[in-house]
Amino acid sequence: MTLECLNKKILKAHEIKDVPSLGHLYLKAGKLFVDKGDIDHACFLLTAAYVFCLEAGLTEAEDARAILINYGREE
Amino acid sequence: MSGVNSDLSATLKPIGQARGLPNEHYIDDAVFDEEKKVVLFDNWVGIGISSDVPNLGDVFPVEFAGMPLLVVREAKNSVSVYQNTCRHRGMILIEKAGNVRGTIRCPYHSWCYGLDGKLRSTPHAGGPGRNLDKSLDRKQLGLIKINSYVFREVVFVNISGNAPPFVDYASKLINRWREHEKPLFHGGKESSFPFDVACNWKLAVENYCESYHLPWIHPGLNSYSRLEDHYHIEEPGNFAGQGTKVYRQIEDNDGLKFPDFEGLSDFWNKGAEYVAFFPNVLFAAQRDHAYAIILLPQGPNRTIERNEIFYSFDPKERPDLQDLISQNAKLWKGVLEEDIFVVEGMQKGRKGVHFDGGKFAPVMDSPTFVFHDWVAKKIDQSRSL
Ligand code: FES
Ligand SMILES: [Fe+2]
Repeated sequence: MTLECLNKKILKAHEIKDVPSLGHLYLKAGKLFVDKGDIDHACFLLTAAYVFCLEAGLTEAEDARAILINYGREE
Repeated sequence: MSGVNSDLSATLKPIGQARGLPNEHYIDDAVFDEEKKVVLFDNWVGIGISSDVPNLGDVFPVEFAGMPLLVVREAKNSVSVYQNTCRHRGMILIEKAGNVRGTIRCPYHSWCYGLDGKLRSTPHAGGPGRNLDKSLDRKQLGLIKINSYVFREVVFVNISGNAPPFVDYASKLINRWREHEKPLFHGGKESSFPFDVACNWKLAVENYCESYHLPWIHPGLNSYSRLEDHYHIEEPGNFAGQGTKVYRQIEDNDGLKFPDFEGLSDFWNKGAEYVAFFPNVLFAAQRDHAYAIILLPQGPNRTIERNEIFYSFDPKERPDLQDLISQNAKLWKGVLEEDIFVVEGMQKGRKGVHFDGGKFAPVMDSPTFVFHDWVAKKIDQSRSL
């Protein structure tokens, strides 16, 4: 999925308040930026992923959290 | 308390000489605020019922006399109550009843709290993508928990945290109705009917305390439950009400009745008790069903009354009793509606500037007096601090 496509989906999910999708999509986007080496932006996105996964009760919350902890951004 | 002056000296006298609480206690904003603190928040008040949150993760916001509360089904068998205010900038957390699958997310900056109240995340609190800050100790910033206790399916809270534990506060009623300590099942949708009433919440308590009005306001009821078959229930400082010795079970045309609560003594074959548990919950204990009326004060002259009926059996398992359940709900709704014009009329009457709180008829009004006396003493004590 291209970044542009991901962005569109994120906006759509915000619009319809689809919390589980927001969790999944932000996680994907975050990981993409980790791969690119843009850690600050990756952590920004992973923070959103963490919050929405927590809200939806998704186990992926722990994936997001682990990466954030790894970069000293979460506890 | 400064700025508030109602004269309670007449209310604090013995019943023969006493007058009821003065008008200010029903119509004045400052006195309402004073009572809110010392009569409501410092005691155990009912705010809802446990079936408001039937499933794990259910959340149910209640504004109790302006105080935002959140009832949460934290675990299968336990209900918790929190202040419904975010620890960050004070946003209201939950505005509509619903189910939280994971955590409670504040709609403002997305701080997240577990159903246990613990603060789980503080997104971007240390800058974009940085969620930590050394001054921010999440352990200190969980949701504020409010002491709560479920009794006869009513969720009680002590908002100030100053009252004794519920089982001590309510011990006299718990003991009186020990035999009734049985599982209660809510009757379902029709068995829940709120009234929005234009009166001070105390007038609903006062009217519930006495049987004096039965022949005039509930003539239908009085035809079989006569005034002379009633007795007073008085536990000063705790509760007051009335009992009857001729309780008659509802039955349908085929003689079908509700099953009794198990193990009740013979007294309850014909006995039933109606008790105002101070300050704001009106209970009924009867052999085959129970109810609770929770008074939610909306200001000096408006009250939401939640009327909730309960049974000894799970209605979902007894489709054959559905009709009788709805017939019973209609019956009670009819009776309780008959009281509305009275409590609203007493509210209007308290605009009469020459009304002195009213004379009690000592024989008939003593349970009502017990309530006035309790309120007056609570306020008097706090004023003399
Ligand atoms: S007010 Fe709740 S997160 Fe800011
Ligand atoms: Fe009545």
